[in-house]
Amino acid sequence: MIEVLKHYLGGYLRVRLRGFSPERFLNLCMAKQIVIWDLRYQEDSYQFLITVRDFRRVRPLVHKAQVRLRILGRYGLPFFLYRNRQRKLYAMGVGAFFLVLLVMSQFIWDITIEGNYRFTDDMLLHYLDTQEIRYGRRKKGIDCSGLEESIRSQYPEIIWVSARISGTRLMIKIKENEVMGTIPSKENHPRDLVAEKPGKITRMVVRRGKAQVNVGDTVEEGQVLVSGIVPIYNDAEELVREQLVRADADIYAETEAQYQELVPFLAVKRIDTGKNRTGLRLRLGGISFLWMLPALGENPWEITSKSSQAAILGDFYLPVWVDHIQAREYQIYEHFLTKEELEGEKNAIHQKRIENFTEKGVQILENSVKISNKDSGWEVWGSFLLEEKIGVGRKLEQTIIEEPPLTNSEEENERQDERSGDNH
Amino acid sequence: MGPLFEQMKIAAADNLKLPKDVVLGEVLVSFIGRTSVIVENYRGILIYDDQTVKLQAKNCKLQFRGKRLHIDYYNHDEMKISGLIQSMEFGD
Repeated sequence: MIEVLKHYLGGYLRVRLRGFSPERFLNLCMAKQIVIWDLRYQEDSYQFLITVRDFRRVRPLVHKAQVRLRILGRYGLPFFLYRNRQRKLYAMGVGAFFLVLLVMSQFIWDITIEGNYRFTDDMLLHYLDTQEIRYGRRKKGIDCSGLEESIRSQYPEIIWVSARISGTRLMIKIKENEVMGTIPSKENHPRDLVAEKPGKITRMVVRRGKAQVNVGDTVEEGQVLVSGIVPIYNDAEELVREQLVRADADIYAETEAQYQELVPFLAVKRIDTGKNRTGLRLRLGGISFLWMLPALGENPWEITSKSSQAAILGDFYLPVWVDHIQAREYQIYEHFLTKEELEGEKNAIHQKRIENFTEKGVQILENSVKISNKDSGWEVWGSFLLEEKIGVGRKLEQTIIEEPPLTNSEEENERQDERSGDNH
Repeated sequence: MGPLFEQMKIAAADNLKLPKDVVLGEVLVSFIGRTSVIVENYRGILIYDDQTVKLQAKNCKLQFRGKRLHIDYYNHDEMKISGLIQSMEFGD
C-alpha cells in the first residue's frame, strides 16, 4: 500500500521495450536496483511500469543492451498537476474547501449537556451565554476547568461537572445532588390528638400523651383521643404540675362512608365515519403554507398534527417547521344506557372508590353498592365499613397552662419580703 | 573455492539442520495454485515471453511454461510470475 502511494506521489511511466536483448536489459536493471513492475510480453515487445526517478537512470543501460524505450503513458500526482495546470479555479475551490474546514473547526458549533434533571438545558445554556460561551464562539480561550468551577459555584446543587471540547462540540456532563439540601425541621409544638370523624375504636398504640379513650369506645368527631397535657403527681398523689407534650399515637377505628353518584340515562357515543384526510403545513418564520383538501359535509373532524423542526448538526435549529396533519371525521349520537352498560358503569364507579381507599391505606371491612332510578338519572349509592386511622393533631393553646397563679403568689411573697426588709 | 569447500558447506548445513536456501543459496520456488509462483534466490532472467520464463539460479536453470505469463514484479532476490502455469523444468 505504501509502495503504491509512493509510486503515485513520485509519478510513474508505462514504457515499451524493444530491441536486441531485452532480457539483458532486465538483468541490468536488477543489478542497478532499478525497480520494474507489471512486466508483460505483448506482440514481440515488452511493457512495464517504472518510476520517473528510475527512468532517468536507465539511459546508460539502454545503450549497453541495445534496446529502445518508448513512453506509452504517464501516471501519478506530478502528471495530474501538470495536466490540470490551467484549472486555477478548480484548485482554488479545493484549497478553499480545506481553508473553510480549517477555519470552521476553530469554533464551537454544538453544546451538549448530560445528566441534568432539575436544571433544564435552557437554564444551563442561558448561564453559559452569560459566560460568553455560545454557538459560534471560538474554541481557543475556553477554559474548561474554569467553566466547571463557575458552574459548580453558580449552582450549589450541581456537585460534579466535567466540560470538554471534542471537535467542534462542547460536552458538559453534570451530576446533581440527589439528596435534599435541608432536613425538614421537626415540629415540637404541644398538641392533642382528636378524632377526625366518628367511629368505634378498634386498636390503639400511644407513644406520647395521655390516652382519653379505650378500645371499643365510640367517639364523636372532634373528641380528644390522646391528651397532650400530662399531669405529674408527687408521692402523696397530689398534682404537682402539668407538662405539655406533643401527643403521638396510632388510633384505628371502624368508620362508615357513603357516596352517591348520578349516571345520566343518555350516553354520548363518538363513532369514526372512516373518512380520513392528511395534509402538510410548512412554516417559515411567520409565514405558513398549507396543503390540505377542504372538509366536506356537516360532520365534525378531529384534527391532530405532528410538528417537527428542521435542525442541522443535531442541535442547531432553523426557524422552519413541518406539520403533518391528520384529520378524522366522526359522528356523535346519544342512546339510552343498556342494562349491561349500566352495570359496567356502576362497577367502574365503585371500583374507583375502592381504589381511592386502598391508595390511602384504609382497610375496607365491608362494602355494598346499589342502583336506584331517580328523576334525573340512575343513582349509584355505595356504602363502606372501614378501618382507618382517625387521630388528627390539634394545637394546645398556651393559655391552658395553669402555672401563672402560682408564680403570681410567689412574686407577692417576694415583694412582701422586700417591704419588710426596707422597714428594718 | 573448490569442490571440497562446497562439500563441507553441505555437510555443515545437513548436520546443523540449517535451511539450505540460506546457507547454500539454493533457489526457492513457491507455487500458489497454478496461477502464480514466487521464485527466490535466482540470479537472472534468461528468456521471457508470454509462454516461457527461463531463469538462472545458482546451480541450475529453471524453465516455466504456460499461457499469458507476466512478471508482477522482480528485484534482486524475488520474482513473482502470474498467468496459467503448465509446467516447470530444471535444467543444467
